[in-house]
Amino acid sequence: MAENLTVIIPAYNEAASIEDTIRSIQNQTTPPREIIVVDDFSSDETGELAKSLGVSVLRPPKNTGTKAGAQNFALQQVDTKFSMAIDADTILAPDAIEKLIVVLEDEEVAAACGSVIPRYKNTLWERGRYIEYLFAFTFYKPIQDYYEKPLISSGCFSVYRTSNLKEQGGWSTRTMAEDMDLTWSFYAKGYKVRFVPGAVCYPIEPENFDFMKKQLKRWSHGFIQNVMLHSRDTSHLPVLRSMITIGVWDAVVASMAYLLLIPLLAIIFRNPIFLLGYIIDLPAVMVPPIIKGFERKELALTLSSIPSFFVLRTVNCLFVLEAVFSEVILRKRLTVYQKGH
Amino acid sequence: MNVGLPTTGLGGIFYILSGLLMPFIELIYTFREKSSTARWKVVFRQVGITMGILALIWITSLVLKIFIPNQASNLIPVETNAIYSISYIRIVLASPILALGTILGISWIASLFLRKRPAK
Repeated sequence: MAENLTVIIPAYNEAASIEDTIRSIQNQTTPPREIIVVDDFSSDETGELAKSLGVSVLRPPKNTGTKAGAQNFALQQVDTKFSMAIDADTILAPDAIEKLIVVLEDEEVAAACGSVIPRYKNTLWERGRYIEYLFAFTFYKPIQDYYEKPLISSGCFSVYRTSNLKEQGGWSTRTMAEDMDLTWSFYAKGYKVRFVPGAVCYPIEPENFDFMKKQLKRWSHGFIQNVMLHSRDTSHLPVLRSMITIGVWDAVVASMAYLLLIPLLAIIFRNPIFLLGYIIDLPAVMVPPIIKGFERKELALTLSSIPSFFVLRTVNCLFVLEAVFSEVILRKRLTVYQKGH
Repeated sequence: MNVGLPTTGLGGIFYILSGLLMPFIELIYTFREKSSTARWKVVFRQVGITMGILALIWITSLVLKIFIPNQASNLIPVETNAIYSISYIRIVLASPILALGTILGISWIASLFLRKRPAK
């Protein structure tokens, strides 16, 4: 099936990572027919580096402004049955494409995604994300897949049936989370999306707060924008509707509890015992990451990374509440795509 | 990709209940001859993880019970015995599930008003 696959890599100033990404695709057990790098008006050597590795390089007349814009620029050239999206800072496990693409044998499946593990796990932010991913891809995502509704086919590594993708008009630029938008649009049209845990990719996650805040802002706003955009066309899908409802509830209520209720109770009752609320679910959080960490022979790294998760989660609350306040109350939409890995 | 707060609040309960339901759904699939060994493997794995999470929540509650009673009696203006009475524990255990049911019920009712079936 991979001989019927075109890989699209949108890239803006990715000279530091593009080579690893391309080589990881070329070294797949089932390499794709074509690799297209969209050099989105980079000011560094991204395009030249990609060309030197023998892949097709497209350069739009001006910067497209979004990842989706760059991907759509390449999609016009795709004539294979399947298309794959991968970020320019992401590498694949050698058998990732082979494992992922088979689920598209089912004609009703429009997209498929794999597991995501941060490539580097050095800083507090990378380690927090590492635990978040281990948790989500070990516990949440397999359950979502069992009920045939993975919440997102991750934009950093997904395979699509090209005809379905083109039917949607490619990746939409109307929200800050084009992957979520596309996934929910597929569901609204009655198509399936699958999650394949064994197909693993390794993106570079934000290593500092500056990058992390851009990413969290984009994701939080993207989530709220998609909830507002798709509330009607997903309302007839009970499982997806329930997951979105609970997601919104937790994003708002749990964030307020974290940032306001817990400190307020500690102050009012003058008792620090309430601060336990920040880590009361620590044992429950530990289970999926420890299982996955053990399987990956990274148990020590997993255990030492767990505290970082609680920092990231608390910071995440700020961005979620800011997004709700801006998008829903102020009606101030985030429209500028800021790259944050 | 993962907006929201893993395991916090009702999301965690929602996925725990969804995980616990999987074997029953798979049994139905098995009777309808739509199941497979691969599907049961996924079910066993997810149920195992879910049971692990529940076991650790239970252990946490036991540990908290040891350390918190004195604190709680100082904070909550009711008799200490009442805090740990059977009915009180039942209410504490049932309230998140009731909240989850209420929210999902409201979302279902809202969906009846919002419903707009797309053309495939």
